[in-house]
Amino acid sequence: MAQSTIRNNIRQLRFHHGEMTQQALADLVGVTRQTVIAIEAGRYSPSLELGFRIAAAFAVPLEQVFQYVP
Amino acid sequence: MNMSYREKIVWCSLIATLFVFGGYFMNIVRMAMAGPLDASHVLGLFIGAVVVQTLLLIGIGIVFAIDSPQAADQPSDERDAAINLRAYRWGYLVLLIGIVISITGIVGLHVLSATPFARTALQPAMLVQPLLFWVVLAEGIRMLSQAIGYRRGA
Repeated sequence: MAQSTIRNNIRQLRFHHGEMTQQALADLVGVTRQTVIAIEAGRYSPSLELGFRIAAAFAVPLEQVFQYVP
Repeated sequence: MNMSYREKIVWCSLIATLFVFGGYFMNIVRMAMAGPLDASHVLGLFIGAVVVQTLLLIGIGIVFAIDSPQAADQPSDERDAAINLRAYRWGYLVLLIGIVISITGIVGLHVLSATPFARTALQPAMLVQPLLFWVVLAEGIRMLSQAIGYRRGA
């Protein structure tokens, strides 16, 4: 499977939010921990809505969490 | 190997399906080779396979729910839905191909209905077996696609 062209900074953002765990982020945005793991690793591109929920969980704009790499 | 709750369930369900219906079809082939199929015996075998399969799936669900109660309580999310959608697409494709092959086969058997093989294969209890085989195969492909989806992460 081709790697996603959408990069993310979720790992760094979790670190800067008091080492937030993947489970804590998953609970905040309403998905399973496996989904957070898959998004963080770039294996799954979330829906726009989930992307916004993740950005809201870190209180940052969407483009600070996800970047499109053409 | 580190597996999520849902991935474990899917792999175990796939193995249970292969085990139960593999046994069922082996029995059918053995019976068909021995002579004309007894419809009531075939029906009994099928009901037995469905009951065993259902009990196994319930058992698998209970064991993994006890093992990971938190994961079992979590509702499925959009990634699960995406994995399931792709899995159903593969399963449906296999089922569609199977139905076309089965119908073509039945028509072909009617054309050759004078031969002893065709007479055996055209028994009602025997005619339904290829269709059932494709349903089980489609279900197996669906589960395999789900398992691969969970393994790859998406």
